[in-house]
Amino acid sequence: MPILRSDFNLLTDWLDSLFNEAAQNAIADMVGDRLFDVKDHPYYTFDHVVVHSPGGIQRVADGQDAPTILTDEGNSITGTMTKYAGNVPITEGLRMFVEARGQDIVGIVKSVTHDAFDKIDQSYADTLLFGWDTSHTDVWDASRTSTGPDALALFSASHTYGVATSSRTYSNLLNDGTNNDPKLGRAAIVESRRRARTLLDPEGHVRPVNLDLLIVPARLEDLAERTIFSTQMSGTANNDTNPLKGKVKEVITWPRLDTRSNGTDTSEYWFLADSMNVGETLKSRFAKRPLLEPPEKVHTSGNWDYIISFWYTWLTGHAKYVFGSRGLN
Amino acid sequence: MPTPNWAKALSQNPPSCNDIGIPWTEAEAKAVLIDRIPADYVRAGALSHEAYEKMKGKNDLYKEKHGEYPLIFWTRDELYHEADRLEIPYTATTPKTILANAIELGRQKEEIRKAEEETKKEEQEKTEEKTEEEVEEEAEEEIDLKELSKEELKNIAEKEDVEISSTDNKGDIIKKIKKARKLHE
Repeated sequence: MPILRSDFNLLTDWLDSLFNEAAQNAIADMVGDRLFDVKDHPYYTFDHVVVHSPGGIQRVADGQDAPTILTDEGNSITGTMTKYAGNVPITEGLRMFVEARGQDIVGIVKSVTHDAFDKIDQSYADTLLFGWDTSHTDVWDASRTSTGPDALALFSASHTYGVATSSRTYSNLLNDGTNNDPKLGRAAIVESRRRARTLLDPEGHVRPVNLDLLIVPARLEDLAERTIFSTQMSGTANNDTNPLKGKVKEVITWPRLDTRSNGTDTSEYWFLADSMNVGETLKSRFAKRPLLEPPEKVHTSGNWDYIISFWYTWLTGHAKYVFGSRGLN
Repeated sequence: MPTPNWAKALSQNPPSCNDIGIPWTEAEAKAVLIDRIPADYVRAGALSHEAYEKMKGKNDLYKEKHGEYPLIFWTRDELYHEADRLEIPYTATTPKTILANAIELGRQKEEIRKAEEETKKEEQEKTEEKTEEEVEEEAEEEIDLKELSKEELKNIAEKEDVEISSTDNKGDIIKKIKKARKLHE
């Protein structure tokens, strides 16, 4: 039975259910949304200010007014919503011979839906993979500023706090005690965790960052899990217990880290993050989540063009909760 | 598309970006933010303290020769002062580098204007000089005619189709020749 104009609502319901199922599966495969702070934001721009409170809490005598916290804001960054959309064309042929070509309709909806979520996830992965650059071409083929609020690349040895009262800097480059950009290994994890836990705030006080999340491409999955989860020291003959077991709570394997969207092999890159605060560094806002919308008119081609579209922006905030290495040394 | 607050980053001390829309490279960031080499010198290429000292020495030599440091090393107040002199409008948030460029352009315009004025002046002087020369030539011509005899003057008048009468004396003939020549001119 061909799908006629009177069946439009039935077809729309069917496509909706296909889209929802495909979206569910695609979201389940995504890793970026576990790291990024993803929220709805129904405005055209998203302003994020990294606020510090230098001089914040102070000792006061009984009856004395509480001191005013210095309202010197830290660095800020603005993300602008951008629309992304794709067509799901249900041609006249697909509608006429729906018994024979129904699977084609399923295939089209699934592939376009997956493409949307795959690219969103890759855009998140690229944020880390292009983290040493100040600009790059993103997965949507658009030129993009990849600096954070302090106008430095996401991974830098000279991050600033943007507070007038302090010119203190910090590094979020993974380091094995000798070199930045070390290959994934125990020494680099231990040293970087030590450095992160002794980071100083603008006032010079220790504000520990607990790097308890290891994020690796598929290529490094085995090495990462052996290094972290072995009961004893992995790759050595001694019987020492493995102190990292339990301290690094999770190893996240993110296959999209293996290759950047420009085709560069990035399978040696690896990252450590603070699971409690990683959302302070990686942020994404949706003005409109991906949605399948029915056509408003029938084109002269006879196609019923359903559209999958969404509006979102993503950016980096305070850089200190994610450390990165390109695995060069 | 994220955009950091470039103006804020640039206004920090030390600035955490090279200019509006231009981040520091990693080496430049280290030099400015960690090694604390003045940003103006890092922009000019000094990435170590040695290079900074060397560049400072060169700048002193430059000052000896030109009477001032290169514009990019000027303080904000010095730039404001020069911008005022050149009547270049600016605001409190105008980055130093942009103001320095504007001043550079302003100075070039000033030089062109001065050169044009000088050319005009020279042309005027030349015109004035020319008039003097003409005056001199005329005087010479007058002397030459006076030195001639009446007969010689009559011959010149005949050659130049100047009508003279038999009662004209030497002075009258000279006057008529001169008048005819002027009319001819």
